This record gives sequence, C-alpha cells and structure tokens, in this order.
Amino acid sequence: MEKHTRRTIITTVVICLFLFGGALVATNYEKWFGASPVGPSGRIGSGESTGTTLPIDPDAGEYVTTQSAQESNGGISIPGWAKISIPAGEKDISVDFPNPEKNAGKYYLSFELRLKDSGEVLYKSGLVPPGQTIQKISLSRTLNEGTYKAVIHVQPYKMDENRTSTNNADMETDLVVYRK
Amino acid sequence: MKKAISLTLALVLLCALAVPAMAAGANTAISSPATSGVMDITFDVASTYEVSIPDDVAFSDTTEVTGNIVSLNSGALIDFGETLTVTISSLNFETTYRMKDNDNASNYLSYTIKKGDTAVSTNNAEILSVAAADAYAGSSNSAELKFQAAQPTISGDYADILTFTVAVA
Repeated sequence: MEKHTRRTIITTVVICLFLFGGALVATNYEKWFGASPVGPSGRIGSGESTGTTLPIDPDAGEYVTTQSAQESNGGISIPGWAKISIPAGEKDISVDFPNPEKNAGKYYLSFELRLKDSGEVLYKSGLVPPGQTIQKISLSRTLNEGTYKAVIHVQPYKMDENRTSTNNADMETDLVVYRK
Repeated sequence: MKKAISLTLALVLLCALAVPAMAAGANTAISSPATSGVMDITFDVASTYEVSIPDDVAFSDTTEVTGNIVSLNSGALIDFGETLTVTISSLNFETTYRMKDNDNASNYLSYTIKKGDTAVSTNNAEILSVAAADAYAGSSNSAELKFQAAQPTISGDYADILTFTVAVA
C-alpha cells in the first residue's frame, strides 16, 4: 500500500514538472529561439519559413538628430556700458571690463576700446577669464575733455585647446572725458 | 591751586562741548526765524547691462537650426526714455548672408537668418529692441534666431562670423 502511494506521488510530481516545463518553453519560445512556433497556417511547428530569422540589432534605437539640427543651447554673456567716464590728459585710467560668471567654463573675453568715427584703437586687452575683470588700463594716448562716441569690441574665445573665436559683439558707448 | 585746576578743567569741558557744533557737514542748524532746512539725498545709478548672444552655429545639413537666443539679461539699467537695440551684421554679407570657403576666397555658401518667423534680409538689421522701462525686469527682452544653410554645390569648409552691435540711444 505504501509502495503504491509512493509511486502515485512520484508519478504525479513528474507529470506536473513536464506540464510546467512545457508551459515555460511555450511562453518563452520566441525569446529563446527567435521565431514563432506557429506557422502561417496557424499550426504549431508547421516548419514553413516566415522570413528572416535575424534578431533585433542591439545598436538600433530612436533617431538622434545631430547638434546642428537640435536647438543649440547656452550663449555668451557680454557686458555693456552706456557711458564710461575718464579723466582728460591721462593715459592710466580706471575702468571695469568684466567677464561675467555666467561664462564660467565656457568663454574667455577680450576687450578692445576704439573710437567709433575713426576706428582708432585706444586699448586692447588679453584674455579675461570668467568671473574676473580688468580695472586698470593704459590708453594708447591721452584724450582732451569732451564726449566721444566709442565702441568696445568684445571678442569671446571658447575655452578649448584652440581658443576658437566665436561670434562677437560691438558695445557702443559714450566715452566722457572730464577735466579733473 | 585747587581753584586753578578747577578753572582749567571747566575751560576744557567748555571747549569739548563746542566741538560737535563745529563738526563740518555733520548737521545743519535751523536757526529762528527760519523754520525749515534742506538735506541732499543722492544716488548715482550707472547705466550697465548684459547681453547674451549665440556663440556659433555648426551646420551639418540644410536643416533649419533653431533656439539661438539673443537677449538682454534682467537687471539691465538704461537711462529713462532710451532704448537698447541689437543689430546683426557680417563682413561677408552681399545681398544675402554668406559663409566664405576657407580654402577658396572666391567661393561662398549662402545662409538665411530669421528672427522668429520673419526673414532678416539686410546687413546691420535690428533684431532686438528694449525700452528702458522694460529693461530691468527682463520680460520680453529676447529674440530667437533661426539659421538655415543653402544647399551646397561645391564641397568646402565654410565659415562666417556675426557681429552683434548693441547701442543705447
């Protein structure tokens, strides 16, 4: 009796394992073997070819547009002055030519002060890192008392190996030369 | 002796009391019959501002490139009644904006610029204008530029540099 019971139990377990294994294979057949087990006729395992059996390429993905077609981001912050006052008859003067913090990690700026009408360059700076400023400059010559139309040409440079120049800005300003 | 010392100290105290009254510029006395005085209050606010310009545009095809923003950053201070304007120009401009072939100075490739959906068809064209009253708050102080290259027919390394001119008047 015990032998009979044991045999029954073992048989039942084996049958259950086969049934479970079969269900597992059926649900994962396509993932494991890359093809549906059902042929065009709807029959399982028809053996007829349905087309390529190539798997999905792992490198395939949504189209990623290039930088030029995407919206470009960022920008260069350029300071401006409606008026700059300097003393007459002096070459060494105080100014404030800053490179805004917003350009940190991205752009150096250089400044060139010139008279608008003649284009005469009064001062040209080197590179100013972001967050820093030039406060003392030496003009190429002194100026007489009066108001001059001037331009501060601001040239940004990328902070890359080549210090590539970018679009630039001409900041128009009034250079007010006063008698001390 | 004691009297002399007392007198001397009294004189010193009297002189000390007179010092505040002689301190230059500290106070203005309002002496009768006058019933009012004046006091100057001044604040010299310099006109300063910051403009953001796009750094560059790199074409790899003829697809329009958008999102290039020119803006007047908030906190700008401009004299009352004046307007800040930004214009755009190129040294290579000739009837259209053009990029020059770096390897062949006679060869150019045209490109177009739009401010929003409006074509910018002249050199030194105005692309942004902000009145003093609107400058500080920073609202409506920007313009989007869109660039599009023409179809190239000759291969080459084309480039152009744009200058943004900012003036307050």
